[in-house]
Amino acid sequence: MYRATMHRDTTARSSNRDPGLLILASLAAGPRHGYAMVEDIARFGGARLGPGTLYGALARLDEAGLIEALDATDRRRPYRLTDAGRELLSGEIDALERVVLTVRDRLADAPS
Amino acid sequence: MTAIDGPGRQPSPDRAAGPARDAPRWVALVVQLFPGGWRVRFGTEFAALLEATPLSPRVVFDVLVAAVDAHVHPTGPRRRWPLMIERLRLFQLTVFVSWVVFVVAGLAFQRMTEGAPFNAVAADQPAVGGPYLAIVGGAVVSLIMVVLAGVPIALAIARVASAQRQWRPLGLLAVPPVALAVWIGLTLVLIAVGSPPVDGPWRTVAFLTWVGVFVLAAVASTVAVGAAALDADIDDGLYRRATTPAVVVAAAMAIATVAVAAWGIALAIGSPAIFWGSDGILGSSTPLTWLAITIAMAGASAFAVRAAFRARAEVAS
Repeated sequence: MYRATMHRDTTARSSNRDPGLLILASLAAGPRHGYAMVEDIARFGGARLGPGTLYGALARLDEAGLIEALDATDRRRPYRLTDAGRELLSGEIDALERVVLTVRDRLADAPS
Repeated sequence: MTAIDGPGRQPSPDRAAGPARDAPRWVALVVQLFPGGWRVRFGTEFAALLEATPLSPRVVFDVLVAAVDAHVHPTGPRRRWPLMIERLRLFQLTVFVSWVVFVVAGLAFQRMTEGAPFNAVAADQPAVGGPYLAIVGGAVVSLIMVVLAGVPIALAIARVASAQRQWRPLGLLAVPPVALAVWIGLTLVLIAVGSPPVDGPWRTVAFLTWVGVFVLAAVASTVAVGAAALDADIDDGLYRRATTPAVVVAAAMAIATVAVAAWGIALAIGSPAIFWGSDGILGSSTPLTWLAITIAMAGASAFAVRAAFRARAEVAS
C-alpha cells in the first residue's frame, strides 16, 4: 500500500526525494510536527518539502498505519513512527544501501 | 529547540481551531480548497504550517496540486480517524449522556419515594433506608464529578468561541441555562395555577407537562452541550483530566443503581404491602415503576462504565 500511494507526490523524482521516505526518516529521530519535519528534512535530505507535499504524504502514511498522530499543542500536531513504519523504513534503507554498494562497486570496476 | 518546536511564532492555546484570526486570508482560502473530511482531520495543523511558510509561487503551486490530489485520491477518515483525542471526547460524552439519563430516572425514583409510606419504611428498616442513603450519596458524588470535569471544558469552549467570535458554540452552551429557566418558570406557573391543589385530569395533565418539559429540556441541553464539545478544538489536556472524574461518575452510577435494586428487594421483603401497592408515578404500579427505573439506571450505568473504561484505556495507551 505504501508503494502504491506514496509515489503520487509531485515533487518526488528520485528515491532519495520520496517525501514519504524522507518523513519516515525524519520521524526515526522522534516525534515531530509538520514544520519541524520540513526543517529537519531540508537539513539531512537536501529537499525542502512544500506544505501540500508534506501533508499529502502524511495523510497517506497515516492511512497506511506507518505513522500515528499525537495530541496537538498550539495547533501543531506531532507525529511518530509506528512499529510498521519503523520496519518499513529499515527495509527501505537496507534496499538503498544495497543499491549504493552495488553502484559504487560497479563504478570502481568500470574501465575509465 | 526540541524536535517538535517550530518557528518563533507562538499562537495562544485559545486559538485552537482552523487558521488563526490574524492569519493571512489566503491561508483560510487555501484550506477551503481541500475536501471536507481532509479539512476536519488536517485543516488546523495544515493552516498552522501554512502560516509559518513564506508565500511563494512554488508554495502556491505545491498546495494547489496537493488540493487536487486530495480530491482525486482521498485518504479516508473511514479507516484510522477519528484520532485518539476524538475517541476520548466521544467516550466522555457518552458518560455525560448516560449520566443525564440516570439523573432523569433518579428524579423519577425520588418523586416516587418522597411520599409518606416510603419515608416511614426507610426510617424503620435499615435494609430500605441504607440503600436510599447510598442512592443519594451516588447522586451527589456523580454530580460533583460532572461539574468538576464539565465546567473547565465548557469554560474553555466559551473562551475559544469568544476569542474567535464564533457564536454557535456560545449559543449551544446557552441552551442548558435557558432550558432550566424555562422549566423553573413552568414550575412556578403550575404552582400558582394549581394552588390550592386540585385533583382530577388537570393535575395529571399538569404533571405530564411538567415532566415532558423537563425531559425535553434535558434532551435539548444534552444535545447542545454534546454538539458544542464535538465542534470545539480546545486543549486536549482538559479531556484527559476529565477521564478520572468520568470513571468516578460511572462507578457512582453503578453503585446507586445497585442500591435502587437493593431498595426494591428490601422493600418487597420487609414491607410487601407497600411494595406491591400502587404508589408509583401517577398512581401506577409500584413494582413496575421501580423495575422501569432500575432498568433505565442499569442501562445508563452500563453505557457509562463501558465508555469510562474505554476512555481510561485511551489515555493509558
